[in-house]
Amino acid sequence: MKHRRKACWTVAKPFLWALLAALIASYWPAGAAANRAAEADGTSRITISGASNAPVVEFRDGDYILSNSKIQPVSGWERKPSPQIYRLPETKWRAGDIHTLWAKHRFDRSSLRAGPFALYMVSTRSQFAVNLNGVEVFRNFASESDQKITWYRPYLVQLPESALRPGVNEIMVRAFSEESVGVGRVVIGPYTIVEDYYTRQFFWRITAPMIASSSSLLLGLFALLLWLQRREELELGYLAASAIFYFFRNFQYFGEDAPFNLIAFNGLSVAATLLAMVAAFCFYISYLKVQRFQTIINILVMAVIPYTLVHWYFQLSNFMLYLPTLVLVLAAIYLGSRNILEKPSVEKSAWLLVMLMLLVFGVYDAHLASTGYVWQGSGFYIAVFNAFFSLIAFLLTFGLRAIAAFSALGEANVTLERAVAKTRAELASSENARQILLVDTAVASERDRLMQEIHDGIGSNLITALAVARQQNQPASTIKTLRRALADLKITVDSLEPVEGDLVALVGNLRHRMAGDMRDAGISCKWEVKQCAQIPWLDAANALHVLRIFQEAIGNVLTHSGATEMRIGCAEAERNGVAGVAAFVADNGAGFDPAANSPGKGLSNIHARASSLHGFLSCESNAGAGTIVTLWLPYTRVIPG
Amino acid sequence: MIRVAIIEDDPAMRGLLSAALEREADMLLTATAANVAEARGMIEAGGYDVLLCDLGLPDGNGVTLIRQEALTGRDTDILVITIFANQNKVLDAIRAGARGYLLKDERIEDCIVAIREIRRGGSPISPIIARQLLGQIRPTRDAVDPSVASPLSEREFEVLNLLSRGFSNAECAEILTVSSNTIGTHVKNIYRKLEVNCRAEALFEASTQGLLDRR
Repeated sequence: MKHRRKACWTVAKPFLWALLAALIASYWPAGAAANRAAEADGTSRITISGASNAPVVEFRDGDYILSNSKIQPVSGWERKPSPQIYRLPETKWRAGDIHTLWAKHRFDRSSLRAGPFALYMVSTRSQFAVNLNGVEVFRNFASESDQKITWYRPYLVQLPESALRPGVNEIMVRAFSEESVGVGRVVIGPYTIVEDYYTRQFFWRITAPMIASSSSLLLGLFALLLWLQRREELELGYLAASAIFYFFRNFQYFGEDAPFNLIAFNGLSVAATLLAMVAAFCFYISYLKVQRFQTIINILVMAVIPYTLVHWYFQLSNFMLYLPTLVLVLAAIYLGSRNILEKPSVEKSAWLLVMLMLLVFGVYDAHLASTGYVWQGSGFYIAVFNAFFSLIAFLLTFGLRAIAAFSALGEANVTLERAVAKTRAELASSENARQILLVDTAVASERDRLMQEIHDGIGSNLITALAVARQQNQPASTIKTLRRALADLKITVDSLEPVEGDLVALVGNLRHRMAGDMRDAGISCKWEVKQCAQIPWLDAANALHVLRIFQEAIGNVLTHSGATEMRIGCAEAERNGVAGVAAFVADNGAGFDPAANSPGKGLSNIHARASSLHGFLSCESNAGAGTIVTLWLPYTRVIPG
Repeated sequence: MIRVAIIEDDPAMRGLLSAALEREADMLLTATAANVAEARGMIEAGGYDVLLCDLGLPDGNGVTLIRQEALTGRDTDILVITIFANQNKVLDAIRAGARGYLLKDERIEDCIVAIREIRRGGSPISPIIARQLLGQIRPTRDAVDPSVASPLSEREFEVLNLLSRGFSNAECAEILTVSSNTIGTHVKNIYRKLEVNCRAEALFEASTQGLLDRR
């Protein structure tokens, strides 16, 4: 809560300071004022301010006459306080009828010091001309039909020093209008001082409202564009309408020429105040999502249009338009405060501030308008500057929304990219898996075909041959050769069985195959396997090498050793620091002296197979102490080059 | 008396087996068939305890005949006659309902022993087949309790594990302190479970694919 309040203050502070500075600066003509009684020689009552060697004189009264005569009326002049304004609602004049107000201010040359001099005029409406001692020095119109929005515009009129006379001088103003008519403040003083004051007043009355209104119009157009893109966000539409109405309403502050008929324009300007407020209220309650806001909005819109038309047709007082405006502002502030207490946020605070300022500035301006010629205040209206607060609130609200949307978009992109990358990786890996599967399937089907071939062809034939040989009592050597061929074929087939590098199962299967031969030879077999990990590189070709080595070793035991017992086994073993498996075949037979005997054909054969496995084969034997053949295989092979 | 029927297309092999069976006092050869067509009628007729069946028949695959025999629900022991006892063939036959295998090059006395053995309730198995079964019946090795994750009992799992590591039936029996016959019985039960498993899977697949009309 606290930091939100602080944020509001941060937003409001520069504006409040600027307002204060403007108020102080604008008090200048009234400050250090001294009233002087009217002279008996028909000179006006004046207020003198400023330094004694450069006094500034403001007329407090003058001689006035309402007369549409083209030449200066001779009689009927009345002494009245200055300024003198005849406003349409009070005068009950019919709009469109021309009224002319003549004003004469006399002053003694001695009230002033050295020239050159200038007049500062404000609130004089609408077309007017200024005469100094019967010589026209200024007029704000080219032709009498050239209507001007002048009631708020300050004017600087240079007074040629040569036209001034010693003694009493006369400034006469002729102002005429189809609407309200009046001669406002008339101030005379040294050119540099009056011009300086005029410049400041011009800025606050014309330039600054122009900037504020233009930014508000830009905001409105931007909101309108957004709304056209996103019709469902009605609050954008209301905001746009409100901003455009306010621009129209405030145009009178800085525009000099009415965009169309001045009377119609003035009427619509007043009506626009209510319309802008209604739109702002609609925006505010739909932005806050006040309960049943849509119904409220419908009723408001239905009510305000006939009300405005009635008001315009019957020329009701402006108060009848400002009253509902005031009610709406108060309602908005009430609803906004309640909403903010429930769910506070920086944006909502900003909008509530806008509504509060609407009230404060509105009351100030209304006060200034009603007492404008007694109480000067800042000397200019301030409600128009609420556009800046609206702009800030708008930027806060929709800027924050846009930032959130952009970052959401960025995050969405990142998420999307991640998802795409993930999917791509998955696709690649599934494609990879598919390729592997394809190769595996091809290998498997090729293996099946070969197996079928071996089974039905060579295998069948060998079986038949063996059966025939046995039946016909062929020599034992024939039968033995046939059986050996079959055994070799079986081992080849076994090597093709997928065992996933399970050396134990592979050797175990060989032992299972040869169990009958062992039994025939009368040699018992001890199976001494330990738990071993799988050997990843042990594919069919390598498995065949392993099986052949063990077939040879076991065959040797069966045929040559004369042993009674053999042991087959395996265990994990390191060799030169490399992890691996050592499998062995040992017997308790006669053994041989490796040094004495040249290695037989079988032994050198299995050595060759062992080295093509990148393993290591050892054959240890001592005469009379049996033989042990050990094959060591590494878990991972480092194959050079 | 063990009544035996033979399905074998090779006359030499058939003759060898027939002669051997006739020599045995406790065995009787009841029928022979040389192809699928003959075998179908023979299986329908029945009247034997052990069926020896070759797989590669001239007019079809022996596996279909094994399935036919198994589906009769008779207490017949089916032995596959094979050259290599390679795992694909043996496992296909066991899934169809076989309970063991004879190697064609085995000495004929060993074949007779195998027939008696299967009748007594024991099945042969090789380490590679045992290893394959371990992978198939219990596909998830991480399962905390193998008896839950698979239809195998804990003891059967133990037996299969030892057999896959190359231990013979006698050695397994010694390690588990049971008789050698018990090991053979375990193997036979494992084979039965594989068959049941396989049939259930086939049924499940058929029903999920809408091939079975369940009225």
